Amino acid sequence: MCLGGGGGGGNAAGEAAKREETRQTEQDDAVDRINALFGIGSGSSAAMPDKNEDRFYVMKKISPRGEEQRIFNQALYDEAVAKAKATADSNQSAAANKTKLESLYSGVGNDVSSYLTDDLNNQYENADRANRFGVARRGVRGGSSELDVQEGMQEDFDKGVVNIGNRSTEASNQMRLADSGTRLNLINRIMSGMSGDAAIVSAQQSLKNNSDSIRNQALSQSLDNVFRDTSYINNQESKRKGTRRADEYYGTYYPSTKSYNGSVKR
Amino acid sequence: MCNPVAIGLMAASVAVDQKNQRSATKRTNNQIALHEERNDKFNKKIIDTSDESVKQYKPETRIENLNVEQAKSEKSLTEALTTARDNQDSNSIAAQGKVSNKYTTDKAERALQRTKAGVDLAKMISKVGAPTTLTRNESMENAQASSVIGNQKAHRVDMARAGGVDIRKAGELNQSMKLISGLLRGAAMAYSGGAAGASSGAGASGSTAISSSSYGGAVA
Repeated sequence: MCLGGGGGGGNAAGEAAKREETRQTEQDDAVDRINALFGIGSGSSAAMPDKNEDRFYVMKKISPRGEEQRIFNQALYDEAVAKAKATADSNQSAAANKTKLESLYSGVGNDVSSYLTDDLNNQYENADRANRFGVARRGVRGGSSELDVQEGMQEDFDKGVVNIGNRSTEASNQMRLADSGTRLNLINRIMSGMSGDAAIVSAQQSLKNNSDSIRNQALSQSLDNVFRDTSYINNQESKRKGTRRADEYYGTYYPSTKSYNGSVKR
Repeated sequence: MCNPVAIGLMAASVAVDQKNQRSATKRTNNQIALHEERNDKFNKKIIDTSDESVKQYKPETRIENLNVEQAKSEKSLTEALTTARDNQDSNSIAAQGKVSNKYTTDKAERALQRTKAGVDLAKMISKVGAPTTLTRNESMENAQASSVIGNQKAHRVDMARAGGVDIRKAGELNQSMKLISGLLRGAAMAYSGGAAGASSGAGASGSTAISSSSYGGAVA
């Protein structure tokens, strides 16, 4: 009758917390999906629940005298099984995505390395050719001077290789950092109310953008002139000889009459 | 008011009120306990995450991680040097013309030294670069831990708000029981006898109804 409509507030106790819990579970699921996309597992155990666990049993009164019986709650068990399966799927998908991402990161590093190594090899080839001519011009072919020049070239080459190695690692790391930043940003947005599906779409776009941006940024920076020092010495030597020849030809060569630290000689 | 039925009805009304109040207090206490339990769970997760992220700063862990990064970088750079050297050797043009044995021996010796120097360079660069890689990895771990802690804090605040609503609701008196109590009180007044009693009983009943609705309004 009219008493039915007058229920107390006590009946609704816990409703707000339950609603909030559901909302938070949805948020956490969305965060887990984003993490899985970036190769990070949920961190929860995906072990299948055991039917004998206490949490799946409830005590129920079976007689008016208060006798109780332990009864298995199938619904609770099914819920736990579904959750464990979802966690296992999520962890599996995270592991697969991690492998793909690692291959993407190393791919970016390898692209940068290949591009710069080509540049280094070309520079080496040009510098080597110039030095061979330089050595031949100076008439020191097959001597220790040639070995010095070669050694200097090799040293520069090694530095160039190490520099390329660092740059390629840096490019991979930059991409890792950018992806991590994107992931954390998306998680923040989910926590501020962004839907999980919208976050996934945004994450996929960001992953692609990060990859393109880092690759382009790394490739836009050239290797600079690696063999500058070695070539400079050779060029200076050639220049000095050329100037001397011209001076002698035009009669404008005036050798110093004083020794300059013993290094300037006719 | 000396009518035993009226006294009985009044006593029943008071008993219903008290039961209603006791139930509300019990529900409130249960909600508070639940709220505290949930709060503890959030706090525990925050502390656990924080503890876990701090573990990476243990000196022995840092040294181990530094060595791992250094070895990784050294391996990668040495491999790059070896590959580049191999390619270089296969592309190099052999010295033309006759050269002295001393030149050939010196050249081989210097190449050997250069290889060793290249490996040393890779080691040195790895040593120099490893701390940067280590701190970068640590920063990424920190950012992840901060994100988890931030999420848990937000969850805790939101849950506390929801818990507050539940606690307030749990403290509300049961309206049906309030009505029953009011009716019992009204009946008691009616039984207390006499025209004055009946009149005052009706007034009391009316006043109960007003009081009840006013209480309900205040709670809402």
